[in-house]
Amino acid sequence: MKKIIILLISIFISSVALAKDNITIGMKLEPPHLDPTINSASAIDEVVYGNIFEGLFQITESGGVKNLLVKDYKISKDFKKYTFYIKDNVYFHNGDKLSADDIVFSISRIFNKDSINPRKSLFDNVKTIFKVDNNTVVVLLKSSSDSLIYDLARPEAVIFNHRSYKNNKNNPIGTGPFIFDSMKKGYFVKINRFEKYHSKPAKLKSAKFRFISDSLSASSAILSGEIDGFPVYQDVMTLPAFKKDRFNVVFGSTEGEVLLALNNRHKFLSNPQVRKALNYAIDKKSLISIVSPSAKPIGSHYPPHAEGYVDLSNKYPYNAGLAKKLLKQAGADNMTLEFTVPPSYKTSADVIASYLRKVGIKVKMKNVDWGTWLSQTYKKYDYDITIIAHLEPKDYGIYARKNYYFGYNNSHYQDLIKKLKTEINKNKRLQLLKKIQVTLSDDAVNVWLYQAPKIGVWNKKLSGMWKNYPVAGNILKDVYWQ
Amino acid sequence: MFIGSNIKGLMKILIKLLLSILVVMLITFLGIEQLSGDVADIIAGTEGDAQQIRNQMGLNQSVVSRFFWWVNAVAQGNFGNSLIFEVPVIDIVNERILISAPIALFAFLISISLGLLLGIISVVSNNSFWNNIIILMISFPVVWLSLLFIMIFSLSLNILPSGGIGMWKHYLMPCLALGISQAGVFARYVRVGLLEIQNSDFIHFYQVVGFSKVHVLLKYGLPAISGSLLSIIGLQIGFLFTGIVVVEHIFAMPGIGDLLYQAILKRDVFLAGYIVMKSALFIILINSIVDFIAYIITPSLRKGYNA
Repeated sequence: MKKIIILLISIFISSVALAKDNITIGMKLEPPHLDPTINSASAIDEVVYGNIFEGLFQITESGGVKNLLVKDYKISKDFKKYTFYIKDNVYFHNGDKLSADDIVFSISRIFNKDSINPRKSLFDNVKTIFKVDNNTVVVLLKSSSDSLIYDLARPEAVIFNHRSYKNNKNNPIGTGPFIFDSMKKGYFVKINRFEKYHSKPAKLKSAKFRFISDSLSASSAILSGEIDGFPVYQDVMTLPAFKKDRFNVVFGSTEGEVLLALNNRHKFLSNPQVRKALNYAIDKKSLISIVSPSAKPIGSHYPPHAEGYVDLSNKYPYNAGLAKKLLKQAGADNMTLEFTVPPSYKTSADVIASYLRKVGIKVKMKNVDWGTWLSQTYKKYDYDITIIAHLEPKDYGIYARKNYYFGYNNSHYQDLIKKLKTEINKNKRLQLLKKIQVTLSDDAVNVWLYQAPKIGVWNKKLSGMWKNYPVAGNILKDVYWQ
Repeated sequence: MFIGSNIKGLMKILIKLLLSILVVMLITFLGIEQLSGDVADIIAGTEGDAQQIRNQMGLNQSVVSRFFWWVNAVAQGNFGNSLIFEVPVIDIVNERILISAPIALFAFLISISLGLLLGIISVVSNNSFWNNIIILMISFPVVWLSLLFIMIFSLSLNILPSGGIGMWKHYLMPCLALGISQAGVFARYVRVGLLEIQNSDFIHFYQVVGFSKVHVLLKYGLPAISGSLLSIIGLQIGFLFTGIVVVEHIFAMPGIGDLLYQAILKRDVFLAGYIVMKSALFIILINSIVDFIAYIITPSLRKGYNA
């Protein structure tokens, strides 16, 4: 009897000792450093957002926005004056108390003339920001806009300590639930729980992000248990290796529309009929079954999980015969298109090219790296067609820009976007959002292929991991071991 | 006499070295310059202000002035900050060399010792079995071998980590994979060398005198071919570099190969330049050492010099 009790006690003790309170998360790309306000690399956000750094607001798992460093806020009727009331129990990791000065400093740093913030253009509309008292800050806008709250929730708008901000690249100090511990460039970043956190502290004691660029190595690291999870897993081919008894393979949503961008400035592609032909020519469903079986097809620039979505994915059903006919009518049946393919879209591009060849289009493939894509395709509009995911949430506004790489210019559409910015009435907003989707689809600006899914793989015993990817981030605050 | 002529020679070598560094810098700089997009584009992404970043980084100047600015800085011993990591290139590169160097060293030792052993055995045993083993090893690409190791030791037996750094365990599979895949090549050179020499008169002579074949090959045959083997080793080290890039990628080790790849992708000219400079210097150094050793141990070379 005594022996049994001792045995039971020892089992109990060992199980308590074994309860894990740390985690190792795998990521494909390494962050160059840890300051999200001066570099567009999403790997930075995936480490620091909501873990080390926090903004006035935070984007939630479902894509909404919640208060984080503000306890309350007020918006004037004309959507030009925003007043923020800041929580008064917030401390930075170095012990400094969060003040209105930090907020004025951090936000002015985004829209200042010499700002190099990757989201600078989104804050063009800010006229000024000033402190009213120690817990109150006011932002004035040049013209009415409803997007400020969302933009302030972005990883690029996190709040820095105005005294320590310069060291944030390699020794980040924020207000988040985790303190930066150490970093080995190219290998890992380690963070520990911040005990003086302003809300409920994190459940994990520490977390490590490990960077594994090769997908086969990533899968073996997960299988052998060296890493506990890979929240953004890209290699669909190796998914069957993760057996259900040990792993969760979770398909969530992203804000990323994967599209075949058509250069509307192109001699033939400027003709809507040709663009429609391209829409008919590609069998989206079979493309999806090859490259991303869990993805949802789309027919406009709008995610299926968002409010106000209109399903237009079947507006141009696969019809090679019709595509050929339309091309012939437009005199484009013999055209040659150069297909610019950025990294990681090679398979998709091959499938699409074969569909385009079927309707008589000659396709020339051109593989480029990210730097080349940005400078040639995106900035110089030097391309015919290209494939890319637009990961920005609520980014239908890009179609209203006159100088954008799509080259789409429709004043009716530009008006819709202008109206949306100041429309407060919810029903009217939804109406406008519907019109936006339908207009884009009617004009067949691009060939929208599918909404990129987020595939996450992690240990079955892990709870609290985000299923969706509404923003670049791996928020670990509520993650724990069962 | 010895010193006088050598100072002149040393100066010549030094000037050659400086010139090669300058050429390496020029090639790296132009190589990255001709790619489209610069580091500012990449940092800014789709919505940032690349021009402002260029202004702050001093990238808004002409290609020529930027190149000479860099050369001037390097001449003063300042290799600059990495444009993308924003820390001194020396720090980040030295950190990574500490990861790559052990892989290189142990893989090298494995390939040489295993290659020597297999080469000798295959000649001595006079058995095609060993020759087939060598051919098999040559045909093992390092990628395949690495994956095989991961499958056996990490996934099935779960005794070795599938990747990463930190402990000796992390280095076992990459060093073995790289070492074995290179050993086959070296073994073949040993085998061919020994086969050729075993028919030469002096080997026959020793055998006639009564020494065993093994004894003769090891004691007299091997030293005779060591000069040519050494130059092969010099070349092998070059191949080792390529192999390291591969194993570092597969075993997720943040070494120098991975860093160079990143530096080029991100158009980080100072970082890429420093890595290429350092590797070039290293290869020049190794080949000089190999030449020097060959010179010492090969009487015929020495004679040539003195005459």
